[in-house]
Amino acid sequence: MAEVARIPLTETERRNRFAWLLTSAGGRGGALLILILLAAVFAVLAPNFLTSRNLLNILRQFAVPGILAIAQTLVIVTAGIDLSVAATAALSGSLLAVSYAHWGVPEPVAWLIGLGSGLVVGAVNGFVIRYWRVPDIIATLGTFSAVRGVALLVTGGLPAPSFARVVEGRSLPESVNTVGAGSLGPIPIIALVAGVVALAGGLVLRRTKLGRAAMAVGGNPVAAHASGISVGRTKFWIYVLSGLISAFAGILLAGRLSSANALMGEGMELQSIAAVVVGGTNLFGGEGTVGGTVIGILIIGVLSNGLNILGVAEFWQRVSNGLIIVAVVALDQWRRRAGTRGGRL
Amino acid sequence: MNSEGVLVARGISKTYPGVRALVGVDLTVGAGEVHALLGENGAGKSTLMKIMAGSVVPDAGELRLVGKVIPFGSPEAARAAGVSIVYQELSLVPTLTVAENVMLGRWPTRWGVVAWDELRDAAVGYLRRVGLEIPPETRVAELGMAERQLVEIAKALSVDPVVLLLDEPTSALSEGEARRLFGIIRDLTATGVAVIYVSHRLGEVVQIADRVTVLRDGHLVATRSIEEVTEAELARMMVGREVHGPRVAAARVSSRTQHAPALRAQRLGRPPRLRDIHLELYEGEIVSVFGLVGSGRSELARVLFGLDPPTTGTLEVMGRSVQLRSPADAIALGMGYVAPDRALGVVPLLSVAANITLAAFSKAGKGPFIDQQWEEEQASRYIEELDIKVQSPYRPAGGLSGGNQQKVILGRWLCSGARILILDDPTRGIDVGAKEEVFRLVRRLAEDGAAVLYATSEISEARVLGNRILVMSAGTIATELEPETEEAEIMAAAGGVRG
Repeated sequence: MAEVARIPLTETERRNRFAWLLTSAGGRGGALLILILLAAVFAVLAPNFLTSRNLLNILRQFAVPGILAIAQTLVIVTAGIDLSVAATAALSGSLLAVSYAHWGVPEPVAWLIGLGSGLVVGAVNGFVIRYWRVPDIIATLGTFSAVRGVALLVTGGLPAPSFARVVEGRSLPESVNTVGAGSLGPIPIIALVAGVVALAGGLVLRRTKLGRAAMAVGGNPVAAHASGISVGRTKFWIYVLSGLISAFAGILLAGRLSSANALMGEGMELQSIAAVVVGGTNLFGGEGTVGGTVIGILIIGVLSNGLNILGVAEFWQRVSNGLIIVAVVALDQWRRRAGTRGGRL
Repeated sequence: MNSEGVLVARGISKTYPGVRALVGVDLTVGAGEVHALLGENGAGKSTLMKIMAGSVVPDAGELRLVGKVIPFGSPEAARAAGVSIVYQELSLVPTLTVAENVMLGRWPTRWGVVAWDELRDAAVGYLRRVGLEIPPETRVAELGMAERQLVEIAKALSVDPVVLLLDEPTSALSEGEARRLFGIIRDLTATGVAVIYVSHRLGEVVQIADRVTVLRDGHLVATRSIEEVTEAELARMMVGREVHGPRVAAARVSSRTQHAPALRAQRLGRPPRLRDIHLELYEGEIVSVFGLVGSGRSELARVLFGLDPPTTGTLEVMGRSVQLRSPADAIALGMGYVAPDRALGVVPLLSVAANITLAAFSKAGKGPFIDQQWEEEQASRYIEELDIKVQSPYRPAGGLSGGNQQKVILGRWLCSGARILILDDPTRGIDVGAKEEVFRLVRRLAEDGAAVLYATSEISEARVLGNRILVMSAGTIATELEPETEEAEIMAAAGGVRG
């Protein structure tokens, strides 16, 4: 029998093993380090950064992009991409507001309409990708535009609820205001909800059959197919799930803003992709962690908040945001190479 | 052979986490020499190749080419010094032409645009050296495996190497094609090129090599002149124990008449590559399917497993008429499939445990969750049963050696409870020791009542394993033979020669 020599680790091995730990953590190790570093820098430079008020504010502001990034993680693990998450959120928030305040449907029905719109968008994405064989990025680019259009049609381009059209003095449902803008003690409810969504997303990815199938489909579609996993069906359900989660995020966003509009959350789809990648998930699928994504969105949040406090002009913020995203991923790539250098590839 | 050697490696060591891949290995290769590198999976031969090619950095050692030290870890430096490598996984761009591939990265230009006629002429020169007479405008996607292999070698020659590294060059070739390759290798060495030839096919090594270096568990066992050693000695050096010679077919199966066949195909086909297949496969037997490259052997395996659903004829599984539309259908009917290319089987980023349960988790209980304890049990069970060498079931499967990856895939089908196994050249690219283990496993599975279809391009494997041998030629089953049939007769049948 060919024995694999098991011998005490040498110093190089120990270093390699450490690097392996970092890489196997989906890059979380590196991203976490950068998050801590960033926070430390801002804590020194910006006097008001390290106050509980400010930190809670970051959580409140980045809960919705964070939830969208969770949805995005699930999709990217299958080697897909969902450009329609933010548009879906806007449609769902708008539909909920319009159906409740303008049409006068009961509160639970408004919730169902909002969430249902996400299911529909997800199913459309999944259907077009599965049966019409349109590449993921094109299919969701289509819905990215079309769904915003539908949201504009639904709201007439005005914020909803809009004063002239409300029935019997309705505004947003109280439940939506509470989850979007309420607090539990000092903690914003929206941040807690985002935490729960993150846990659920992690559970889906790590512990469910769908999550496992998604990993296999993203990692080696040929092998997944030969193991009886339907690549098309797996992707379909992942897109449906992404739509549902995005729709939920849209309702929270309406609650946080106390009003919905068809254009809210613009740019969040790119933010969500950035968070996933900064969090160490492989854009080509097959691996990924929700934990990494959470750290990713926190990096983006801390950065934007810190620069704001420092009074860096908005235009410059956009520039630095872009640069830092690329820098973080470049660093992560470099670290991975260091981790697997000489590895059995 | 000069005593100095054009390539001299001294004290090469490389350690991966928990495994010593190479321990102080020396290697000297002379000009015009074919030097074979032999060893089991994980013996360190691939690592040594990669170190010489500059893609892996060793922890210690020195590498000299024609007396000059080559820096480690730089493929460019290695290539510039004259080391050229042909990897086992081919590295051609299928959408480009043969000429473009041969000269990849070194296209001649005139006024900043590609000089096509110059490119073509240069490529034709190298193609001629490997004896390949195809139009250089042919797209690589249209070529067969054997031709691609030769294009790959032509590409390696286009940098005018001093040392050519060939990693399992015959793994995708038929025996005739392999013989042609040997002729080409001889022509190359006659011009002074040194060839390092990694293989696990002992018979081949004895034919082609001048000297042979055997590695085991990262250690150098010996370097010998080929006249001094026998195949049996080499096999012993590789595995460090006695290897049993080919054992002709296990006891004949008596159950053949008892039940309906596990698998029965009638006029099954998928023209134009596969037609008119009549086949009966019983529980507890191993049926070898022997065929050369292009005979329809692999196609048959793919059709039976639903990867390419059959378009004509009928198929019965356990006496029931069935329609196969996808592998999922086949798996539901209790079938399993092992592909010749391991990359098509494992999901490298998933853990070994997840790879083992991959075809079974959807059936493992109701509800959306995968039972962690169940998965752990299944993984440990098959890792132990199949003797898969891995530190933890939660390590990514992509890090395993070829033989172990193939065992993981067998484990996947044991875990899914498959009763009909379609194995297509499962031992391709894995070495003697691992092969023996796979044979042992296949026999045991059949003894436990599985029906095994074993497709292979090696006559010896077909004879050693099969209770009977189906010989394929030109897309259909040409004849059925006893495993005791002479090799020459089997080869004749495969070549379409009658009686």
